[in-house]
Amino acid sequence: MAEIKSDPQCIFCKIVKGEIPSKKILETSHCLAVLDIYPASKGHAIILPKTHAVILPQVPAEVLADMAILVKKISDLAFKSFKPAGLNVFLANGQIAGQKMPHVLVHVIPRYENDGIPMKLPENQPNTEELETVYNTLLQKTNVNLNMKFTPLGAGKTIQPSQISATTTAPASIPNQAPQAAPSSPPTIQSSSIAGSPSSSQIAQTPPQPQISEEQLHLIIENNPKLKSMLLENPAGLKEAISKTPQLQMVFAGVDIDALSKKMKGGADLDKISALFDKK
Amino acid sequence: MTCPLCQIVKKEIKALPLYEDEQIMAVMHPFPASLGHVIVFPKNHVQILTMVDDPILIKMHEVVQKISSSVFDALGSQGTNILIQNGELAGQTLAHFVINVLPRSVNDTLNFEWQPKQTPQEELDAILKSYAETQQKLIAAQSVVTPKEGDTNYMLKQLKRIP
Repeated sequence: MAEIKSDPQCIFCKIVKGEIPSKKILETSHCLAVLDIYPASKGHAIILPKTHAVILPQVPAEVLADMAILVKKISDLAFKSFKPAGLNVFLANGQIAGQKMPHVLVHVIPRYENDGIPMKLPENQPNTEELETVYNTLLQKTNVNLNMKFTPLGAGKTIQPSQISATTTAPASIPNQAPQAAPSSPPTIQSSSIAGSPSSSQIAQTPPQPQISEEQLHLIIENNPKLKSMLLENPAGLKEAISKTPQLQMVFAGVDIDALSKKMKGGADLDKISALFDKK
Repeated sequence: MTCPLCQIVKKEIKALPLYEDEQIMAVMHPFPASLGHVIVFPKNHVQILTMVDDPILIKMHEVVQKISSSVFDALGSQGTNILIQNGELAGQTLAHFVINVLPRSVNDTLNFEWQPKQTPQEELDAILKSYAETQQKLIAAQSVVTPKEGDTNYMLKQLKRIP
């Protein structure tokens, strides 16, 4: 069983340890379900992991699984005990999302007529271009986070194997692939390409133009540690290598290397987000 | 009655999928409440949380967690909400169980803040007692927590009205 970390300053860690009294409904090895003492409605319960985690991404897998089942169980008990007209399960990550306490809390809120709890979602007509950009960005990250190469059919620009020379294998299109599935051969770029010495037989005849979708580019980068480290540490060197290598020119056609490098270095730091709470 | 999510599963409606396996799917919400709004749902047509099989629910949570991380990483979002709506009154619009992942930003129009109620101790104790009694009854009846198919759960009757 995973070790239970606790933060001496955190009220909910004190509840877990029994240093602060609570109205306990159920307890499992990883989680606790208690009544919210300032409820939004009758039967309002909160489910919390025993180990200290500020936001959802920090919750260990086994704790998350336990939490999911406990949320279902408490929802079932709430339905049977109070016969509400509906029920919301709500979790806020970050102050901007309405998080008040620096410990992951899942709210189970039974709903009754005219209770005034705002849980309806607006349905907005999206800007198609904006939606697709966000989609591509999210897909890349989700693939990395789930350790898979999910390339939906018909999404983004497709790449033809013939457009890419032997040294650069395009990521295969694998819908329905579970994260547990055996990994397919990752796309690789041989180090010789990066070093700028392609063999003459590999020189492509296609003129360089954007041919690879953003997620495919991302997959290629993620599967080539050398390329990734160059992109992060030596974008100028990489640009030089690209100028000498047709294969790389094809991969990076139309891509702003400096911007890409910056983007890869950036990204939200989860520790920074949780640190915002610790300062309070 | 055709369910749009079942149609997405059957590929009769086009969606932007982020994840798919035999049991679950995650797609971009076609009418997002906030930019980057993702829905994660079981392929099997079930209406509410208590009807979802445990292993599927666990997998859904794993994907929800990873997509939340993606939102933090990729969209530079400062927050996310995870929301489940069971029943029309709770905001459910489709009779197919969904977990919403909602990226939050300073400029969005979302607001889920409720009014916390000062509640007397006796009232809280009575609620706790109701929970304990229901739990006891379930144990006594050795009843399975998950309602079986064909169960005449009143929540389901209510949901049948949702188009």
